Amino acid sequence: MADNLSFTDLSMTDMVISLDGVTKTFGGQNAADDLTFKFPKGKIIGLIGPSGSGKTSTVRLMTGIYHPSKGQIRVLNSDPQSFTQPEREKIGYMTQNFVLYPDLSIRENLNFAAAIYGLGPWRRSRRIKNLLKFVELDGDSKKLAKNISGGMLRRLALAASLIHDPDLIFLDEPTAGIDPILRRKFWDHFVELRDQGKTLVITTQYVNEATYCDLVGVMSDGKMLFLKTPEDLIKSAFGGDVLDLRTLTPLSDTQTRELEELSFIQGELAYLVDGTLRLIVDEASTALPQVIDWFKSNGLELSSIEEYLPPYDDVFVKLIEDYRANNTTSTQNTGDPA
Amino acid sequence: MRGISSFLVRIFSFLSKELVEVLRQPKLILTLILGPFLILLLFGIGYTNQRVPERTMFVLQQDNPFNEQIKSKALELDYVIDLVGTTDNFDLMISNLNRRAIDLGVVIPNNVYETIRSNQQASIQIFHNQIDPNQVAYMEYMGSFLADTINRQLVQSVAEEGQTEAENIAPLVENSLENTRNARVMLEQGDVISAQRHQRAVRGNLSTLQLAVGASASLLQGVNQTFGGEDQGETDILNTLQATRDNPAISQDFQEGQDNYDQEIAALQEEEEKLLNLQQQLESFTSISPAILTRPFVSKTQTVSQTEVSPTSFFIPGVIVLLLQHMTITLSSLSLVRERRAGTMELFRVSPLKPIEILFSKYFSYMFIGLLIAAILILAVRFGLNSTMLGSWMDMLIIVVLLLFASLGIGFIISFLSQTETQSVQLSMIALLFSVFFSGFFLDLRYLLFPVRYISYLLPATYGTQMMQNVMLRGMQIQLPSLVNLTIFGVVLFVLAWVFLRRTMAHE
Repeated sequence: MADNLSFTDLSMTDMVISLDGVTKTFGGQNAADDLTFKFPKGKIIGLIGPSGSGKTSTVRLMTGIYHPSKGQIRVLNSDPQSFTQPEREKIGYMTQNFVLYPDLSIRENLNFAAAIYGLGPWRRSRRIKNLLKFVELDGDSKKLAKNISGGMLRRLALAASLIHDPDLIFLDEPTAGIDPILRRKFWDHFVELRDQGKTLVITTQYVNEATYCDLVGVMSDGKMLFLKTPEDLIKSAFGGDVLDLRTLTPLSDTQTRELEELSFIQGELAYLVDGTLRLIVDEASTALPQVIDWFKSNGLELSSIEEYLPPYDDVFVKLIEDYRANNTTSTQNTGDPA
Repeated sequence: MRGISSFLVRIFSFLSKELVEVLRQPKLILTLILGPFLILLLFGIGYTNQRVPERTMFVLQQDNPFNEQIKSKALELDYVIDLVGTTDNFDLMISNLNRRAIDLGVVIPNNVYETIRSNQQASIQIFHNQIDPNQVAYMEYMGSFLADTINRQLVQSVAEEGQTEAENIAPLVENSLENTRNARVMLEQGDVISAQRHQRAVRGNLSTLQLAVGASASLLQGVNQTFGGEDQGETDILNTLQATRDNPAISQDFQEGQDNYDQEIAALQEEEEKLLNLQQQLESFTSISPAILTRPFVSKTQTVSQTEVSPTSFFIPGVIVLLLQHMTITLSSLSLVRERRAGTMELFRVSPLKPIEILFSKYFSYMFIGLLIAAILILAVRFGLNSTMLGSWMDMLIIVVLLLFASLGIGFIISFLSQTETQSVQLSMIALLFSVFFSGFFLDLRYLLFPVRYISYLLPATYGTQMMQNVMLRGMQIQLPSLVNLTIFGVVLFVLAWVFLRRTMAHE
């Protein structure tokens, strides 16, 4: 079960998705393993994990494509297996690959996608115009899908998934294989949608994209390891906030031990190769003045001190490595095979 | 209300999408419409439906008495025989057959007379080198035809001889009749001596007649029997002559001094009538042409159809049906396989689309495209190739709609059975192959054994071809059984396709 999955500030009516002990098994392998979590309304929830970690399976469970082998799923207060047509109209879905029609133009593809959701010609015309502008394809609407670039295809697919103005949007790796500038534009779009009150569930392999998310679910081996805010993820990875400082004179062994024994310092101090001293603290904002005071009181002069925000790549690698290490240890202890 | 409008929006969006996809492939359009039209056009121009005379070599011995007759007859039959030559060398003929230098070798027996005299049929041997069963059957027919022709030629010669004989014996019959009549008149006048003289003359006449009558008597008898003429007792000339000779009024001399000769006079009158009848028959026989005697019947075949159908016109309904069925099966089978493999089906599963809506939309779209292509194709062959169209256009429309409906079902079932586009094309080709052999396109279904014939009834093309031929070429209305069968077939396939699609779209 994921750590820290309760959102005490949100009522149950604000939850759009809840999974309770959901497992999906294919041929004896768990694609999703005992998933229990809730997603709040109006947020961007990122599902991050290595390839094969169960992100897409989880999305497919939530969209109703997969039937859970075990457990309960509620999406928009309904069982996805028995969504009504109006409930389906509230959901937008963008698959990993481009699945529209190469022989149709961008506009024709969007027309078709809109018609699937029952949008009549007049409603859809205005909507398509706005969306083409939104995904910056308004100058290319007559181009055939087979003649446009990979980035344009992703933008077309995104526009198609938004064509019916859904409340809940599932985007399966929308930024895969596109350049950083376009990725940034995509996330700007997602934030914009979130600000309009939409809920977005986005899977990605780009760990740094976690920074755009309100909540990040870290997945591995079909399990949801963590579901936290990006900041809380860093704390989970390193055991707290990270402070980097440099001194004009090196600390003695005694001073080092005294520093480690302070109540707001977590674990051992670490010296980086460039001589920087790294501290893990409970809360950077409160620990920072206390650290400065301690150095002053010990007659030590600081040349720099700042909170270090580690790249999410590092956070993610650390979390996965810790999880796998723990998992191996527990397997060795219990004698269960991995 | 909103549900209905959304449903219509979805259906027309599929129609628009499928139509645009098809129209964006001009090569496909050319293949679907222009290709078959050009094939039919070439067939119409190139196919003459006339048999080419078979290159034939006769094997005859130099001293065969029929040589000249057979050669002249073969030259007369130039519409079926191209007389390459005659030879007395059997091996040469076989060698020519093996080299495909000739098509037919005809061996005429040398000792025809001896064989016939020994009460056996002389055998004309026909050799060929064909492997096509239809050609083999034709060669067997040719052999029979040649034997009949030669037989007829021989019988005609005999008939001519018989007529000459009959002309020769006519005076003898006349003499017999005259003497019999004179004998009766003398008896009536009481001149027994003169009557006896005429009586003896009659006996002599009859003996000569019996000896003279040969082929003519047999032929005359045969003709009369065959055509149900006079009753057999009177037409058997030899028996008649013998009975006349055996009549006591002819065979025994009249006795002088009898009280009356009424009995003898009556017997002579009876014989007079027989001889008169024989005389009339001989006159009739000699007046008939030998050609008619040996070939009294000829056949005249006529059709009750309203028009004469050219080979191209005959095949046009079958080709249209096969083409529409194949096109529809291929397009529909590829359509769902592509949606599934591209992943569009995954989008559909999350969308509000129901399986029945997808299926209905696909049916609607491909029916529309199929009807469009069918209209162009049918109008092109009607006015471009001047094909026969005797029936109602409304009936044609109904046939095409039902054919497309049933074919779409097959296509969608194929799409559910196929994992890849290649598989779906292969299965579509197998359906086409089945249709070519089992739909009655070029083989009469009556030639198929019954268990195998059931395959035919599982093909929309079978019903389509039958109905379209009847409407186009016979001007008939649609036959209700075929219409009902095709409809039931289409509905069953639609339901099956719906079940398959529900399973495909069901939650995994």
